[in-house]
Parts: sequence; structure tokens; C-alpha cells
Amino acid sequence: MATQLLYLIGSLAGVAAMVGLCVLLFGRGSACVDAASAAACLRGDIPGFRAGAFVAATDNKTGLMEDACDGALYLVTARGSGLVSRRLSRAFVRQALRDGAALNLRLADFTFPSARIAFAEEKSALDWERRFARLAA
Amino acid sequence: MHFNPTQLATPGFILLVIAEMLFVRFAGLGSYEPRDTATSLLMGFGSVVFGTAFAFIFIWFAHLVAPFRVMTVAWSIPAVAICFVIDDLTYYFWHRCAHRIRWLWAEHVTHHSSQHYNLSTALRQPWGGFLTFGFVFKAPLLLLGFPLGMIALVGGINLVYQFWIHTEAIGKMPRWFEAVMNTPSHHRVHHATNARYLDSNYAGVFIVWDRMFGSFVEEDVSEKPRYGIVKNLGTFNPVKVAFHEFVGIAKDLKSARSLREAAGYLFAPPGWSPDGSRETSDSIKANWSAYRSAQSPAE
Repeated sequence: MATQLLYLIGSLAGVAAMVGLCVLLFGRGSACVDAASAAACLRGDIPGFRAGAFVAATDNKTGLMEDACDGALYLVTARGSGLVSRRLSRAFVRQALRDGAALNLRLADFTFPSARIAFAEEKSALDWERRFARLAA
Repeated sequence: MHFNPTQLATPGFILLVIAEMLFVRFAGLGSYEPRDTATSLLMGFGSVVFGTAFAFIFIWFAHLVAPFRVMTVAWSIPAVAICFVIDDLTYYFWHRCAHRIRWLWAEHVTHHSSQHYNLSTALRQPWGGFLTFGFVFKAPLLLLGFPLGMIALVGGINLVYQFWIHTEAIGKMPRWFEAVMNTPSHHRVHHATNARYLDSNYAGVFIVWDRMFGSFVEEDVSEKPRYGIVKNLGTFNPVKVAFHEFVGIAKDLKSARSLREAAGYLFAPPGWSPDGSRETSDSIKANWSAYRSAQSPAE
């Protein structure tokens, strides 16, 4: 039992050391969401996607982009050094609450954290809140 | 006979991951991301813990099947070689089903959930194997009379072989090798989410199974693979990575309005929904084909 515990602790220490080396070699590798990176991500995910209106949160970690083809809205979030996207539908966005110049989104996805998108201006938050209200099912 | 190839190979895995990290850093071929690597390594660690804790289920299954075996195979080098080839064929069928049946995908999705493709991704192994009973695919080996120890041995060698093919650091192997064996190039295609690459190259060791059963796709140098899953995860939390699809199935089953719908959520391809509103790999491929045809009608 003691030997097994030692193996477990040793393995976890080994994992920590390898992750430490990875940080040392590659840094923390945080991606930023801008119009170009969001469009590239969505073009990869959706055949025929055409970038439309875009807005980035002030922390550049989250962005919202419209598909100019069909008006569908997409949320693009930085996850490590990559981006993750989701199509925003009424079923997916459980709640979109505006808080001044920020929008708080509660999402129906076990792995996708709820998002807070702080805009530079309250006008943007109002505009996107209206778009959420019109979301398709 | 007690010989665990995976356990023996572990120091080699560690050294090769470190060597690849250095290669990627200084040659710029491939990618690593610390949080992604942490998740992969923890998934590998957890997989060993869960695998050891629930190994008794497979042993119980083997004892259940044993009385029905058609013969008893004794230990010998030719027997191990034959067992290895048949085991790789059963791996091919399990792997194909794991991409086409949501219940099995719920376990296997873990391995595909990284958006990077490097040797640490090879260690990103599932924790929920005991839930899916995927080991029933080993039944033919048990029924043919191969000893349990031999099946475990060849399974371990198969897993060890698959480690080195998870890399972008190697381009193409010699032609004869690419024709017969699974290689980094073939397996990059398997891990890609590009529509043209979806649901292909299920082989473990011998790529000939894909060529025989029509699931082989060659890596196209003009289309770089994008790694991950169709809906990439928004988390690095290993527990969520391990069980998110099981949670998804549970939620869908709760909303199912008939037995047919419940069966669909469990056993239809990942992404299936009663009204067809979600995307499956088939619908993604169809949309992509339609888009390509519209772009170049002459083709």
C-alpha cells in the first residue's frame, strides 16, 4: 500500500515537472480573440462561413461574430493557445443578462464556461443584447 | 507470465515527450501548450488508476467467455504473433465503432479532445472504459482460446506502438512502411476535424485494415489537419474531459420522448438528434461536399 502511494505521488510529481518544463519552453501561450483569428477559427469549423459583424470583449479573450451568409451568431473564446467556437442558439444561451457595458451569458454546455463579455461601450452591449433576444431556436 | 509492455515503456514515453518538447521549441515543427499538456498527462495518470481499479471487470468477462472457447492456444512465438494480428483487427472494429456509436464515443472522445497533436496527446487516455464495456470486442480472441495473459500482452504492445505516431515532428515514413503500417501521417488524418478527414484511419498498428474496409484517407499536404473534436471543449478540467459526453448522454436521455429516441441518443452516431438539428460527421461531410461543389461546379 505504501509503495503504491509512493508511486502515485511520484507520478504526480513527474507530471508537475513535465508541465513546468513545458511552461519554461513555451510560456503560458494565451490566445487573443480578434476579428481575423475569430474568422479563421469559424471558417475552419463551418464550411462556407463568411465573416460579418464582430465585437471583442475588452480583455480580448472572447468575441462575438456574425455569419454574413445566414446571420447566425457565434461565440469565440480563447482556450489556452487555441480558440473554441459555439453557435449561439436560443437552446444554447440559457440567459443573456446585461450589466452596464457587459453581457453575462449562461450557456447550456457542460464544458463551456459561462461567459462575461465586457464591451468598451454600453451601446455595444445593448446592441448584442438585442441580437440575443432575436436568436433562432 | 507477468509482463506489462506499457509499464515498461513509461520511462521511454517520458523521455520522448521531453525530447519532442525540445524539438518543437527549437525546430518550430508542431505545438505544445502547458495546460493542454497538463490535462493530457493527468488523463494518462488517471487512466492507469481507473484501469487498475476496474481491471477485474475484464477478468470476470474473460472467465465468463472461457467455457465457450473452441480450443486452447499454448504460449509460443507464432501464437503471440497471430494473437497480435487478430487483436489489431479487433482493435480496428472497436475503434470504428467508437467513432460511430455514441455510447462508445463517450469514452473515446477523451483521446481526441486536445486541439494539439503531440506525444502527450497519446497519453490522453479515457477513464470511463469500465462504463462502456468496449472490451467485449476482445471476445473473438477469448473464444479462439488465446490465454488472457497473451491478450493483455499483445494489447499492451499495440498501445505502445501507437504512442510514437502522435507527432507532427515526423512527416512521411518510407513508402513501403506507409503502405502497411499506421504512421504519424495516417494518424494525423484520424485526429483531424477537417470535413475531408473525418471518420477515417481507424487502424492501431496495421493500416491495411483501413485500406481493406474502405476507411483509408491519405494526408493531403495542401490541407493541414486541424486537431480536436467537432465541438472543441471549453475546459482543461480532466474530470470534465473524461466524463462530459456521458453527462451529455444523460441530459439527452432525460429529454427523450420515446424508447426509439433514447436508443438513438445512446447508439446512433455522435451528434444524432431526433429532429436532425445537430451535426453528425456525416452531415458535416455532406455540407462540405455541397459547398465544394457549389464553389467549383466543373469538378
